Amino acid sequence: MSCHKRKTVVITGGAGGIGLAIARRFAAKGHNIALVDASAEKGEMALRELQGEGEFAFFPFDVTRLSECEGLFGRIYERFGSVDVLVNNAGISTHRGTTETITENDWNRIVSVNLSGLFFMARAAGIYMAKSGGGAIVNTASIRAYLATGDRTIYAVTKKAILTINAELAADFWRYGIRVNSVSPGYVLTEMTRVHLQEEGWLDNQLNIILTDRMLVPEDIAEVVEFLASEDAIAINGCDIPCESGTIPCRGKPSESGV
Amino acid sequence: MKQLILNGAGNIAKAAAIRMAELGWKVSVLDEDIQKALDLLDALPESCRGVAAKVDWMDEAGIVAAVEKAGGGQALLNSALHMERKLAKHIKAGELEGLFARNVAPMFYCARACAPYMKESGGGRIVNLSSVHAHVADGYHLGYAVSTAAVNALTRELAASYWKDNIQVNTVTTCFVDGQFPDELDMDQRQSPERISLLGRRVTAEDVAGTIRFLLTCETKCINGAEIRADAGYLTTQYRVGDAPFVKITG
Repeated sequence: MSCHKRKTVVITGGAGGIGLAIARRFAAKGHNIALVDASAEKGEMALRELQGEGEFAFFPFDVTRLSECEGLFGRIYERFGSVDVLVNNAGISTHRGTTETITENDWNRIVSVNLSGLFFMARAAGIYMAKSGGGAIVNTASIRAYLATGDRTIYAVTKKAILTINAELAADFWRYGIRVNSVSPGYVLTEMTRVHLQEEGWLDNQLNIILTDRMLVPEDIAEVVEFLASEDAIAINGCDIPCESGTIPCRGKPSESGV
Repeated sequence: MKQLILNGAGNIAKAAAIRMAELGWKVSVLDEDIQKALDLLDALPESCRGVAAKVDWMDEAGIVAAVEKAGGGQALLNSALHMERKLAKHIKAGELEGLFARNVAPMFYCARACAPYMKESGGGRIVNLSSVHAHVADGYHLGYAVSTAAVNALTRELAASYWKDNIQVNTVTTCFVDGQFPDELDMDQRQSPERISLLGRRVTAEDVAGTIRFLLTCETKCINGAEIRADAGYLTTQYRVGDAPFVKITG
């Protein structure tokens, strides 16, 4: 921390998987962490895992409580004295099935968390980042914003919409020195997805569509999020960085060395 | 000591070299203008200066020899782009092919020359510089637009070609970087760079260098074959809150 400002980093969906890896990374760099998660139990457990010179606090909060987002950031600002980075990572994919199986409830629930919640958290963060002299918002989109599978339609629609939110908020928040970008993770090995490793052929199928010899892990994504939140990314605004190891642009790969 | 090879000694390359030198990397420079290459090295601490080599961009054997003389490296920045401002009706026979070859082939040759050294080191990172011209037209830069769009395709193919060797290849797309191409400053009369940049000022080489540094040194495996737009929002925004909508100026 000797030559960097200690930032206050707010991470939604921060109690597990990619969100927790992001929290660990920022914590290790000495920043203050405000973990936000709907699960109080998981959030408290995650908080105990963080190590670093900054201060850490957990705020149990459901991002669909849209009218309360501003109040949440008010409490975070009061606790830490600034709001510098928002990692808008909370998201759900509770419906999987073909189009005719989608109900109104499925639609509203996923849109409420992935889109409305993300937008209102960013809106509220903008107010307090402006008071803090600027900041960076990093949203979590998905490879599903680019590639369709036909069985996660609602999730894909909300993730594509995040790319537009990036640009719209960037064109507004630039006045306050706030940049707004996103990452689009591909398939990442987390505690939830690790169970598939036992399934025959599952790992081979996953490795076949990426340009590396191992599955992506949450720490891969966390490094990119930290970069986007840093001054090194000053020229990146309103954009998305695909974090899928080439799945989107490449549809094949040689099995031999290129050299 | 890790080494960065620069293909091109322009101001973005220089800013990136300075950032890499701050991390303790040695830098070697290939350019058709040896003085530019030497000047770039002069801007670096002595301990970070590699070799400066004059190359003919169309001569792959010469590029291979220059990379060998430098000792190879773990990272390559391909930034030697040449821009010509011409209306389509003024482009003479052969000029389009010439500009395309001038901008695309050297990036390929440099990547192919550096790849064996990267493989030997356990992997490497390549960044190809591209431009917003690859995405949007203004009627004055046909050859540049075609060749920078090809750079994006080159990046994808190189990423797929060298994945097994742990070499990650990405594009950084820039716009109207101060001082990069003097004749670009008046190129688009509707959209002044200061106005469209979400930085509230013209983008500088130093602004872009942070992104290049990240891509050349990151540990993550998740960015490969990608185009990262370090354009301060140029491609995704039409105008900013606080500005009136554009008024088209003609003539």
